[in-house]
Amino acid sequence: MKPTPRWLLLPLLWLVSQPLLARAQESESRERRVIEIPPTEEIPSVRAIFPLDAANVFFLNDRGQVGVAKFSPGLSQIGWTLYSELSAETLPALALGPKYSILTASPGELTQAFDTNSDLKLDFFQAVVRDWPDREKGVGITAGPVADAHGRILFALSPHALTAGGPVKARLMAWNPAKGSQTVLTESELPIESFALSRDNLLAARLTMADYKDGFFLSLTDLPAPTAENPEAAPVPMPFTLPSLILPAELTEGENPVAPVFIDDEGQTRLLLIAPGSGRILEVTPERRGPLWQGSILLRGISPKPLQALAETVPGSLLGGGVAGFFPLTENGEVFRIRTVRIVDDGLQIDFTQPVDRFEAIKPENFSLRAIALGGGETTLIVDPMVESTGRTVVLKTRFPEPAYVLRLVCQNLPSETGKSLLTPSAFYSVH
Amino acid sequence: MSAPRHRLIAFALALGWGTGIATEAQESAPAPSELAAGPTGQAVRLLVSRRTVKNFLTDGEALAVYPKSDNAPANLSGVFAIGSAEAGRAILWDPTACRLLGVLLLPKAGSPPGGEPQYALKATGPLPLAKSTGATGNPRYFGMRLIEGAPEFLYQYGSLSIEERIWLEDHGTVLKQRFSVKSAPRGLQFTVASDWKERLSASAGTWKDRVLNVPKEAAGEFVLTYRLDDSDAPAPAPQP
Repeated sequence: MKPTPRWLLLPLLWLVSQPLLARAQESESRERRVIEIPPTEEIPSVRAIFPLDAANVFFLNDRGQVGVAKFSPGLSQIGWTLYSELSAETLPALALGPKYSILTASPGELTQAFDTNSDLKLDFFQAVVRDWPDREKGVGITAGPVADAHGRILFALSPHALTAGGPVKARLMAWNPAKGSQTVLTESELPIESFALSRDNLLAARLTMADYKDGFFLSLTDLPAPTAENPEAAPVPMPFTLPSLILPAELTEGENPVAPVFIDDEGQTRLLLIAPGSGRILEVTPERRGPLWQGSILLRGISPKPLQALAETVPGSLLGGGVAGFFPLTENGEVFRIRTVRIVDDGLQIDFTQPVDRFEAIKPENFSLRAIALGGGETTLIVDPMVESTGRTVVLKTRFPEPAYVLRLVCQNLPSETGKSLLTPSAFYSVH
Repeated sequence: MSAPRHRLIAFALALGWGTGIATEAQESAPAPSELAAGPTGQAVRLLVSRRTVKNFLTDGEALAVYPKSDNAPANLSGVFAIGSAEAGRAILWDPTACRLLGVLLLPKAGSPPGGEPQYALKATGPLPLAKSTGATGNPRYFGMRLIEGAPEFLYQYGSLSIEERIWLEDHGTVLKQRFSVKSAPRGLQFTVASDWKERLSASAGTWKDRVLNVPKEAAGEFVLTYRLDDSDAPAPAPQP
């Protein structure tokens, strides 16, 4: 490919010292760097996205190269360029580190990359973590990196024993850039194949359970903040990552949901995951219940293009990526779907994105609600539907069994008031 | 399990960088123009990647540096592949062993797919610097930097802090390997395999059989030049 003529370069500014980075680097340099991004018709193949702000993202392409892309306010792509030409077999995640560094991970290494000569290309790749227990037996990094609010870089290790003969567990680790040390943050009996961290340190980890075919385990765990006295110390007691929710295979057409990302949806924290083959986007709404986490699991949408990566650039603005490049995935209200389900005093409240057909919505036979006990057994619940005045909310009056079950809701034959069919009639709710 | 912090800092200081601090590295990394041993022939634009390669090493001494298990590793992960389509070759360098593993011959256009990879050179024997004073234990990879497109690997081998840069010249027919060791008060002993020796010349030091003795004055920078053009290479010894 011919190099882009200099005169064609758009004077697009990518300011590294935008607020997100500034939070992590308050005590560091206020230097501002600019990357000129040339317009190009070439389409990047996107495997991971790290948003910097509303208009700029870092990304990983399918060769493991780091790129930077710029967008208009409507998330139309203006241009992109490679920030590193080194290709590598990296895991599909990027994190920002101190001193404008970028972190990537492969099964054998956590790598921190810098632009040391200020030519706006990464040129120094430091292996910051290469040692961990049982590496010689095949233990490696399975997920990450993800930066937390305390400047640490989190990654997951496959199951291993800390001491000879000790219990074999997968562990979520934190690399502390200031000291170069590592801290165990949480342990899991099951391997961690991907994870995300919310702003308030809620860990969502996808756990591998190969023999289970009906769904996919998701763990929600509160991670304690490091203490001021000893920020490198492991939390006491050590949080244990247990399966909290099951993402039903029915919603992903049997496909493994990947690339979890937390978003802020009108003030509500939600977790999104994607099924790359079908382009299905799952939405989990975490809900604390005492020391446990429960929540609803819905199909949020189906991507119009092959989807491998998802990111929220600013609240309410979703950017997707895949072999067809970048594309906006922000909802426009045209899709008729179940927006939320929640347990209320007298039953189950279902909110829709559009008003429902009231005539159909009041028919009990158009709803199927079953409680599948976590210990086994299934109960069909009798429901009495009530439509609220807006037409967007239906309450199924019912009585629930004792907690520890999964609700499976099916809204069969329930069109919108304009005759649209639901994106999917099913929704799920884990209750502890 | 991680490297002692003081060792990394000492290593970084010995090499003149900050540990993971871009601004410090920027201040102290030698500028390309300051380097005496840059490309002298026609440089080849290199593509650098990291990948998992099927283990092609068969020599027990070369495999000794890998973690002990019942068998030789089936795959070598995170290996640097340095090459270009023009060169028709890829140089393989492994951060676990911290050594040049070999030269992979890229399939020519029109070659049937799925053939076994062909190697012009394969590492054999202990690590080349293993006989040097101060080279103890296993080497420890620190990182890699790109200097005018050429990768320079940074690692610690006992008390030796080593920079090793690799690039190709003259359409890929010449491989150059530049070493800079700033902590070798007794010089270096660099051992090469016999089949590599025939292709090799050095910018400094004296040969004794397969061992290049580099005096301490030259340890700060010496360059090995490998002739890769097989048409000029001696015919391989006939197989029994």
